[in-house]
Amino acid sequence: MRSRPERLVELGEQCLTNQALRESLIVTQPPACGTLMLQVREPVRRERFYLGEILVTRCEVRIGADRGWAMIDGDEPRAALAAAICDVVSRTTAAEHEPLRLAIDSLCRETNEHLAAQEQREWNQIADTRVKFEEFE
Amino acid sequence: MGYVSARGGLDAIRAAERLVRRLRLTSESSWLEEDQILEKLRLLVDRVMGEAGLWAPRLAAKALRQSEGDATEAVHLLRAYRSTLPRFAYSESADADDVKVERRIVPAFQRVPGNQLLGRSVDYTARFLERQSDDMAREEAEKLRSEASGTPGDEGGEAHDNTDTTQRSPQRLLEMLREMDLVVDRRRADDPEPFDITRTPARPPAARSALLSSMTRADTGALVNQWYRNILGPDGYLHEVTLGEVRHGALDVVVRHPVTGLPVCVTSVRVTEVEAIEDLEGVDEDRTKFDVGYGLCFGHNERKAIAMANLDIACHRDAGRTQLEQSLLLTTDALDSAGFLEHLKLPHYVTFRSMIERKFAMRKARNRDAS
Amino acid sequence: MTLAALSSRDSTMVFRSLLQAFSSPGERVQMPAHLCDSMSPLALPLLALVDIETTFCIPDDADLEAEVAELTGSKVVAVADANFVLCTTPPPQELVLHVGRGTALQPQLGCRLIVSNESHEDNLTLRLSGPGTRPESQLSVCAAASDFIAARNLAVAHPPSGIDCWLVSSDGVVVGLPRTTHAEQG
Repeated sequence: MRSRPERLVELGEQCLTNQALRESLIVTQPPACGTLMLQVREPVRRERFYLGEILVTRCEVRIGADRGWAMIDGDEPRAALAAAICDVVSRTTAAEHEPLRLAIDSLCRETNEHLAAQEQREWNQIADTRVKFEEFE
Repeated sequence: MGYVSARGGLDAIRAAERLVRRLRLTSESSWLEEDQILEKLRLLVDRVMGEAGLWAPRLAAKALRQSEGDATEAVHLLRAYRSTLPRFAYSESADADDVKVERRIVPAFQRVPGNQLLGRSVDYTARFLERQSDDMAREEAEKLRSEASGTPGDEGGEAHDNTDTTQRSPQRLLEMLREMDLVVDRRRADDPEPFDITRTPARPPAARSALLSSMTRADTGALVNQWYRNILGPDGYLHEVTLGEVRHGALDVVVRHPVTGLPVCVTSVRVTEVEAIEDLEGVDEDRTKFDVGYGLCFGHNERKAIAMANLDIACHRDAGRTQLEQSLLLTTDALDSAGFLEHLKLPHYVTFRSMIERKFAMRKARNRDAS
Repeated sequence: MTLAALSSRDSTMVFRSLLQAFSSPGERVQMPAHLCDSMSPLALPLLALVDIETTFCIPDDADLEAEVAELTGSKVVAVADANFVLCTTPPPQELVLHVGRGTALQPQLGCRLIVSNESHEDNLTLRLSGPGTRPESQLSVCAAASDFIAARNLAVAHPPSGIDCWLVSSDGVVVGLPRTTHAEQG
């Protein structure tokens, strides 16, 4: 879900090149924009409160009895549809979809690496700002 | 209420609207890209999202561009848009302890678990208006870019070990104070459903979840003013305020997959979080301990989170004795206040004429009595 | 005809039609034709407007009710508690008097009632007046809706509480009858 939208769309299109898959795919919830309410548990009383909503795009598809679902950050209808397709394909057991499943796994790995690299980059930028203020004696 | 008992003027209204649009779109300067607003006016974007109660950076940038930089108008545009969207789901409850910090300072205490990390801040230096020419600034930007590329850290800074998770999600000061038995324990055993201020207006006495949601969505200036009034104004309080945590970082947003039932991280949002430590000195309070207020808001907005944390604990200690809670719940929303204020510009001919008539009637009655 | 979830764009288009209908009570507003061709126009207001935050019920069609609930995630509740009520035939008086009207302080809690309205030869003509109506504005409803209109008039007799209605015909034309509109038979 957190892959870059253009990579998801590429992969979704790759899935759709499979004719059988394309023909059996039903879009049960076309990609639509909506909100997701973020609830947070705060530390003082350990109680939940609503921080605010997040703009997301949601999509649901079906292949036979298998349901695929996706919720993507922002207004990204194509990426949400692609992610829902990838979601259902990743859970089908048909042998013919094995190459697609491998491609999906590989995008997941790529996304995790991308997020980790981003985090590392961020840390490299801020690590020099670690501070220990001294007290006057 | 008959504030707008006037009609007509449609052509002039349309012409005025066209004028705004035409001058905005056809101004001589180059087109203002969304990315520029997102990157170069990032704090304004954060503030607008926070006050709108909607995390949508691209839409906030568009709203700011459309409102020509009027933050309150941008908040209005976002909220109006939000009201047309369906709500799909509620996130799993995110634990504030999991915020991955980009900045974390503990003004109250020198030796704390984890790092104090100044992050991207000019808090500790003198700020001057940079008056260098645009050409010089561009040259500097070019130089900084070429310096950054090629270093192991990429985009500035050296490579540092990032594997220690306590670096980015350090234990909070509150935990340390708890371990020292220095803080009143107000942790709840039950788990009430949060109050949703987007569905029902919160009125005093309100659940704390309503107060926290109201403050996190409040107008930043209004909240700062409430805090300052509470500290120095006619309310007559003198708080001994010390900040425990001031953090800015990323919080993962997780929902349940409706098919597999597994948690799925949809995105992460940046938040600012503050703990305000309050010295208890009231006769009915445990004076051997402190109490803590909490602030959390979308984006990087330390002023707001600090005011919120202080007002959270102030409201708890106030316990309905003054109008503080009412003031926070009813008068700090940017749209409520600006909407009421701005409607004053609409024609009030009928109501005002009736007021004039009353004045004349009273004058007539007075003259009659006098004679 | 099976229903389908609406895309953001379609849902906005339906929303606009409904808003237009409330802005000009009595005006016949056509909902998006491409949607009316593929599914029951009666369900479009619900598909566009309800979500997990809102409640609804369809007292006279359990299958439709289940389908809308699945597609929108909205919760089915009793008539009196529902934000939206859909009636596939003109509802009886008791039902209309039973739906929520909100209170003077919270008029927004009044129910939005969606009612099927097919034209017949024995139509009743209603004279409409109030904000947004045109002079001499009229509305034609089927004779069976006579009770419904009478009950609706009682339900809006104490403003600002009241109910707001949309009358929807099978060709996808919607007519708004908000609580501020006076409807008189004659």
